[in-house]
Amino acid sequence: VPGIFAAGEAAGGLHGANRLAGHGLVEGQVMGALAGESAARFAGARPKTDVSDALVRQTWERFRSRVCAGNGATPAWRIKDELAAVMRKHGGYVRSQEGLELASGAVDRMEAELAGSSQAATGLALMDAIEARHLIVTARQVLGSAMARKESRGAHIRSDFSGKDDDGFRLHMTASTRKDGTLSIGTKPVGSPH
Amino acid sequence: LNPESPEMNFTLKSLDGTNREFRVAAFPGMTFLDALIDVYRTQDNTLGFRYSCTVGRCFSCLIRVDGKAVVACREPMHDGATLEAMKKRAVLRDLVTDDSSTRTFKD
Repeated sequence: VPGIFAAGEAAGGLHGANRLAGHGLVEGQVMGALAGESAARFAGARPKTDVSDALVRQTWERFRSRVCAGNGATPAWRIKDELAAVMRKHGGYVRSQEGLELASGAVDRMEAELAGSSQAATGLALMDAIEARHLIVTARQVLGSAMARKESRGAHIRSDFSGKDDDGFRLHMTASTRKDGTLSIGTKPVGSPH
Repeated sequence: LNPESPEMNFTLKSLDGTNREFRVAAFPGMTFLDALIDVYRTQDNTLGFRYSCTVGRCFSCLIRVDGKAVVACREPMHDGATLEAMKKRAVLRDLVTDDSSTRTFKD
């Protein structure tokens, strides 16, 4: 998407299979500076555009109608808490096919519950509703790529696949969302440009 | 914390001068931010307050407790306190002020 800039772990990650605690901060700073400079160059080369109030209102209404339309009453903060608990248990350093599948099922249920619930359209409640949706996407990427990598490497430890498998998995995992909203997990060779 | 009465009250002074009273379940080490989050989760999901880091670094949760400016996430909760938004800025809702004037953009 032209004009969107990202930094640090939102843009992938520099540190390979193992990322020591604290390294993400440095990565965020270095890549943040680069992304900021690039964004300034990008914006400077283009004429100023005004976002009309009408467009803001229209975008807001479209979002509000999605977030506040359901019949259910489960608040988004509760779904965030549940998601965090499930991911802590099954999506942490030590994973297994069984646990990852359990967690995937739980994420499916949470997504349905969130989609069917009505959230308050103010402040924190709205922020929780937005974050819960993004966290579900992120959780699916974590679970999907952990499931596909049937080996142990760095901080990814599969209790059902011990040891590295360089022949099968000396690869980056990629995740993207298909047009129908489902997750697609792929691979690309190590050392290839982004 | 008084183990005989594990609940505490606080008053939220609003923009229009009206006061709202809240009662929350108390626990050892509870902060004013804990109390606000409890109210948001269990009593009023439109309660307006900001927070981010929860460890006293970012100052997003800067409010006045009994007239004194504090970061809510580091201020131990006590019974009967009065909470207000910070002075000198327009109050948008409850404890949320308009901080846009503190941002400066180079055009």
